[in-house]
Amino acid sequence: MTTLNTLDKPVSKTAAINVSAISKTFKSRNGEDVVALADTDFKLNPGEFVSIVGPSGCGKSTVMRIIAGLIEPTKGAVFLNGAVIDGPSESVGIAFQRPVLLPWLTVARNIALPAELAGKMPKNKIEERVNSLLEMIKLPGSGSRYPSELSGGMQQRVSIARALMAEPAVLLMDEPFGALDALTREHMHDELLAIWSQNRSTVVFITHDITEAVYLSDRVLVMAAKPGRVIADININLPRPRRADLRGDPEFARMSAAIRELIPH
Amino acid sequence: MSIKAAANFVFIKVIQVVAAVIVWELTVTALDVDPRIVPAPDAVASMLWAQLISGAIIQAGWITLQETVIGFVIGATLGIVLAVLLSEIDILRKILQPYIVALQAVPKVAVTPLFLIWFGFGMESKIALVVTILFFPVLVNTMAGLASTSEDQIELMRAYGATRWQMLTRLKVYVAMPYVFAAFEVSLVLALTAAVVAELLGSGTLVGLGTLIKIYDARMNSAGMWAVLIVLSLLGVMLHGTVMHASKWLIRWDRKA
Repeated sequence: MTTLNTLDKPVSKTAAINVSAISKTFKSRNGEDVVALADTDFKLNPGEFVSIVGPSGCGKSTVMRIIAGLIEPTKGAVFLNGAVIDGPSESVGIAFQRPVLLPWLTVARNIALPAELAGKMPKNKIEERVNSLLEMIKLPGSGSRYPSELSGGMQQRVSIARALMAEPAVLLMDEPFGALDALTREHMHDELLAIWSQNRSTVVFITHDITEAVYLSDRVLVMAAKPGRVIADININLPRPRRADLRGDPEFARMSAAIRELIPH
Repeated sequence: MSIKAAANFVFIKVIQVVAAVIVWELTVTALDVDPRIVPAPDAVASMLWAQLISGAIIQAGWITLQETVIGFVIGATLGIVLAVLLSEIDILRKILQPYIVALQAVPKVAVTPLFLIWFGFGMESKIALVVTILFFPVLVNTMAGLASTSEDQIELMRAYGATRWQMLTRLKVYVAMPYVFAAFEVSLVLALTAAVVAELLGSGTLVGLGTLIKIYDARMNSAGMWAVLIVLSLLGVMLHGTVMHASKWLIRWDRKA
């Protein structure tokens, strides 16, 4: 049983992820086997921010959904702090491509959803935690509003707060800013890094935007399609905290270009 | 709408109704229409007034309203409960679906004589027809509503470890709500129709609005029938308005519209 901490006393609740030789084969509609993922193998250190980039169809979302315990690999396994992942777990928080907020719940209850479903956190703790998350995503006092009253960027922030609700050791993000306009997206990058600097969970960030991956990550994994696999593992040795002017830095441009080269057209 | 705009709206509507009544009166008088075919508005008004004073039309309205509302509540409940069971239990759906489709195809009004035999000439047989007519649209719409969850929503709930019960009570019930209310909106007026039809086909111990129409019909009193029709349409508008308001309030989070 995990203990619950408010954001006022951050703890290093974090986890190592070991993706060990996983393959995933789907059956296509006409009965043929489609290899979405072949012998994919990588490790994530506790508290590391790792992005996975690659063309569409390279299996990056499949990797994420396997780590989330939403689907099982055909071969191999994923370990979270040494334990096999065999289903959705409270130590993993997910932010999806779209915010997927439930329109009939207020912002506060959307954020509280993971805790309410698990039913272990006492009511006053939930309220306390939701309030500190609302502060963190810079929407204090918006708890009683409904999702339809929020802009796209605000909704995505709420969905990140929801992913952090149960204080997960691992945060999985599947192109969470893909639908946002460029300016909002850059703003969200800084928000995300600020949040992450507070809770230091292990982050797996899926994207097809290379500069986004470089700006955010400690490491970038490059994947290729047919079959889906990891073809490069690049350390991003740019200093933290990262600020917007980094985007004009020659080293930043060089790294982005180098990764761009690796991705097959 | 501001108070001034609302007052304006009401004023225009009143003018329209008054104008229509005047045209009606003038036409009937000018063309010397037989009052058994189209009665003059003053005849209808005096019939309506007389019925209101004696309380007969209010009593009849009360009977019909009870048949409609009781039938509506039973039919809607049965439809929703069965929809949930069929949606959740595959084997039950596979067994029952063909029979449901077959029963749905039966013109429900044709069953009224059977209901009269089974439930007698009181309120029960009328309620039975209301229930039967309501049940299918509510069942079908609720099932469609329960199935209208998006893959994103299902994945979200699964990712946070939702149980099957939570999936139903915290997700499916809500996405189904707009569908259920759409069914209510259509079927409440249908329910009133069913109550009146049942009374027309087998009125007996209790006098509802349908029975009242039959009585006036037998006396060739057209003005009386028109008076009942006015009350019926008011009743229909009232029921419809109630459901619309309930629906607006219950699915106020649904701002798509």
